[in-house]
Amino acid sequence: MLGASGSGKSTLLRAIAGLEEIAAGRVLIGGEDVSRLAPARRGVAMVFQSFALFPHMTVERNIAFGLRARGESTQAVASTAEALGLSALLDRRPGELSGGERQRVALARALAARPRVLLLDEPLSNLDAQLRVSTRGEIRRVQERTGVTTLHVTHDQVEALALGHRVAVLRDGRLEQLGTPDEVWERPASAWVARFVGTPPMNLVPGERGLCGFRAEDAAARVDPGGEYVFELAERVGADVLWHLRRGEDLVAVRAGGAAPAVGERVAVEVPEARVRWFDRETGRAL
Amino acid sequence: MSEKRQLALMFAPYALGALLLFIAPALYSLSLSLYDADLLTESRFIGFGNFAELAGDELFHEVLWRSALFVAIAVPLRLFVAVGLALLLFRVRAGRTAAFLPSVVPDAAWAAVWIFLLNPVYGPLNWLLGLVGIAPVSWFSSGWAAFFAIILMLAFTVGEAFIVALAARQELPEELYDVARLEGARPWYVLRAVTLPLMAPVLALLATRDVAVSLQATFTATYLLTDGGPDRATLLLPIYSFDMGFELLRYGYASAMMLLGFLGCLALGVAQWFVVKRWRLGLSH
Repeated sequence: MLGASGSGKSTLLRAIAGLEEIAAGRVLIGGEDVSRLAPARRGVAMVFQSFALFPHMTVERNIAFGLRARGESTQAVASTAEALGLSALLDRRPGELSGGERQRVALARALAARPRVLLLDEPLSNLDAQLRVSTRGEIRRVQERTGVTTLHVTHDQVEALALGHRVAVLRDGRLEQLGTPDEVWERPASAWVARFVGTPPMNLVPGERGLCGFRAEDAAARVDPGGEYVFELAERVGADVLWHLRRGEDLVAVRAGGAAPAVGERVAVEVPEARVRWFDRETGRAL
Repeated sequence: MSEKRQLALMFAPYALGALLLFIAPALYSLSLSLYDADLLTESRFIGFGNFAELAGDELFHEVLWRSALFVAIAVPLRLFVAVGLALLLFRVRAGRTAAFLPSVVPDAAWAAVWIFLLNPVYGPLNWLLGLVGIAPVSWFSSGWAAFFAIILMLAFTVGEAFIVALAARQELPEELYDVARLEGARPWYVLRAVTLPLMAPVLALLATRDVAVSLQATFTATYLLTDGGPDRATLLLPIYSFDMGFELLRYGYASAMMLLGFLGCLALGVAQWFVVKRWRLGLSH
């Protein structure tokens, strides 16, 4: 679930968990209406942004918290800890762990109960950039091994596209698009999604059929005295160099076509017809 | 003016007050404990004579044991009331003022209220007991009844501990309770496994503080309500030393007694500091 802060994604997650009451609608898990069930009876487990570990308990106690609270066997703890590489840390307390280790403990606690649905509330946002990428892979491996349906909330579109089998894009509490990462990337349902997903965002310029959208890597730019655009600056973004161009009020970013021209020089931009997406000028919906 | 000087200047009134009203009298009292002093005739230095006499004073031993029993019952009870109220009123705002209110009533007025509440003939407490078939208790003439009446009276003046416990509870991250709900932990289990252990350092602090506070807090009210009676049943350390000093004019002896009380509280405080320090290490992030 992808959305900007304040778009309601955490609230939605809490509503699914039953921590937040819903005023209307239903929550279905595997076709079963769980809207009226207590959180513990929905078969959901959650990993919080803050990890929400009990600071006074050892790793083992944290992982087994739910099992002990319900008076169940704690036999599964060892294997869950093993799977997440926590076996050597079972006697430590959260205060003695690194951010990544705490994250894994929170994940282990959630998985120990064998939930039907695993809810992850921005689990990577408290980790530093390098750890984020490796933990992202770890979450994906855990998901694939356990096969547990996982709802992962994030404001980071890269994370959403990298992790999700399907991506739900939320905007101001409403579902803007639900689709595979490819669909969200290739066919944004609205101009808003087109601008929200991607770095740089999709270019949107007025055209004859509405708003014309195209991605930087789909455009071919070349210096041309008769071109419509004016060169403003070049910028390296990872493997690519982007040219920022202006046409009247409109700004676009396209992949560089050779050595950067002088500021103010004219540039022509061509986009294959098949790579152009059209959006309604009024509603922003895809045409 | 430099910042240091400004700070010193602002601190000065407090330092002066503390020196004149607390530190100087405390040091004076400390020195008095080594004298035979009635403050009317010339004081006589007697070294540790007062302490030697205390060691053989059977009444003092009795008062000490009674004070210990009082602390052993009153402190857990007061803590239970304060923490219980804090946990009950954590999610509800209504009633917080009522929980704090008894603590702002002046001691003398509080005692007057209880003289009425405990009146053996027309007091509401005996009337309430009568409703459940318990015979009227003569609160002021039966020793144990008076002792427990004093404890009962102090069980309500826990406003400060209540506020501290409430703040400590509010400090606990709400997400821990979300986890507990999701994992299906029952309220009693959450209280035992999460809330109380996480509040433990604060509770230990409150408990140690209350050893001194409950003894001090009982003074005015007990003095007015029972004056140590009947037959010494409510004679606690502060009243005994007050009588010794201000009634019998044995200031040196009274000072020695209070010094021992002070050292006892200090020892408890230091012990608690070490315990909490170990807890904090376990809890820190």
